[in-house]
Amino acid sequence: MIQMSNDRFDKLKNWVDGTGPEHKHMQRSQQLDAVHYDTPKPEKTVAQQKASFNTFFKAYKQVAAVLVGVIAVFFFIAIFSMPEFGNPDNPTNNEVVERYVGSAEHETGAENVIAGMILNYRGFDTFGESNVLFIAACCVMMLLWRDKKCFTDEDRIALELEKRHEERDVILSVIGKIAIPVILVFGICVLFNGHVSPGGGFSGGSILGASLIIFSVTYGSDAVRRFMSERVYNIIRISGLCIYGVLFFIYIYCGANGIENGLAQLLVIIIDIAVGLVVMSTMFGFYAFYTKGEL
Amino acid sequence: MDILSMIIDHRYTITAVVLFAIGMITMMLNPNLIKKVVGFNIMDSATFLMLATQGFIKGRTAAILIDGGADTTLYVNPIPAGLVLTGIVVSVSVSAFSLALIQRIYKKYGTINLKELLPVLKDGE
Amino acid sequence: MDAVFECILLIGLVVTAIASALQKKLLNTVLIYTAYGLIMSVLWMLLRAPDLAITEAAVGAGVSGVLFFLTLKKIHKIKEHDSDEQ
Repeated sequence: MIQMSNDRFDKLKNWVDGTGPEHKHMQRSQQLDAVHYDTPKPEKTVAQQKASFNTFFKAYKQVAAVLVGVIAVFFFIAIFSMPEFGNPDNPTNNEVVERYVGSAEHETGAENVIAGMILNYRGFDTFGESNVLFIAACCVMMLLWRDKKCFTDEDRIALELEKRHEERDVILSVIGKIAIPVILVFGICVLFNGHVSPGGGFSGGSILGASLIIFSVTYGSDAVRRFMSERVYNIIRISGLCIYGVLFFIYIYCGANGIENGLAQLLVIIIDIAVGLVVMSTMFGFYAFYTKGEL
Repeated sequence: MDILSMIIDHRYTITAVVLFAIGMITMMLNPNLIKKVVGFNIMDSATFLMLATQGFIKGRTAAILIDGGADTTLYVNPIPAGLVLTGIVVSVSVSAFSLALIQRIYKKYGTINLKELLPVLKDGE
Repeated sequence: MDAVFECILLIGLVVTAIASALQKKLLNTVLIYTAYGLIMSVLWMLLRAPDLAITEAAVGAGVSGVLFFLTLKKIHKIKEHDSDEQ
């Protein structure tokens, strides 16, 4: 079974890179077609191509300016017919807001109405957004993972330059020893207190991700690899997303808003932590793939 | 003075529309790829400003419940802020993906200026 | 008095947005974009949404700026004498 999944993964990699056996077949058939069916077209000279590009850019600039002007005029007309700013009788302050604010304490278990709302009443939106973060990290992985098999000379030179630049800076080391624990503890505090004070999953996860980035810049990538190897990273990401899915499904299955207060509060805390883990791993993954090409 | 008082009444939405126009012009007209990404981010920010302005009510405070939600007329409308919270994180995800694409384009073609890139791309390679 | 402070911040937003788009060097563009994110974070606080303020400060001005700088390093545009055309 491991042999089969290796083959499938190799096939996926070849399809992404464009080097599979089926691509050679397509190139061959295209060459045959070119011999028989293509009539020779008169080739444009370099000057003609440049002239056509210049006219294209001039026309494009004028059309773009006109388009933006038309859109801005329409928006201005729409603004002056909108209701007054900050009026309590606006159409947006209807009975939905009274229900959300009035029942947030004993239905969701959260005193921060925004956190209780996005994890409970509008939980599907947040689930979709966690998926978007996960997929963005996967896409950056696919684009920027350093290919160990076809290592060109440029890649080797770039790798050596990076290794030389990774010596430790004195100022960063001294300030890092003081500041990194404070930032880490602050991030954990914001994450765990998301249901009673401003903060929550996204803010806490971003602060934790930023603290991991500072740690990686200060102490080098080998120090991070000691506790955040590739396997731990994947486990954190996938378990964060799966915990969210499973718990939210259980919550909806048991009749949403029918669970008592204590259990609802526990659910909100755990789902918040799961979202924070996904955000933290995404931010750190972006940084790691941009600098080194590997975790 | 009527126009001036009207502008000050609608200051947030007017700024949002002006920023949207600035971002869109930057994204469409600047041939540098990184400035296109910056313009796209400014457009996103303008949309979020426009959306979160609809939830503000004068004289009320932030939506953290004090007494268990006994008095609902003390709090600002929190629903638009919840929508914007999702949008901010999606915006940074799209920016990160675009920047990764820009790195690969530079690695293959050696330039990130559209006026030099388009002729090379049109020839096919 | 509140309206005056908000008007000053909104004018600052528009000025940083225009300035960020008209720079010649790419390093200056990214720095001014980070300042734009900071002013936006203060505006979220004035609109009574503290969750958005923390998230915008951590993500918009923090992580996004770092990603821009790393991309600039990879495309070799952080030299002193290297000026990029607009």
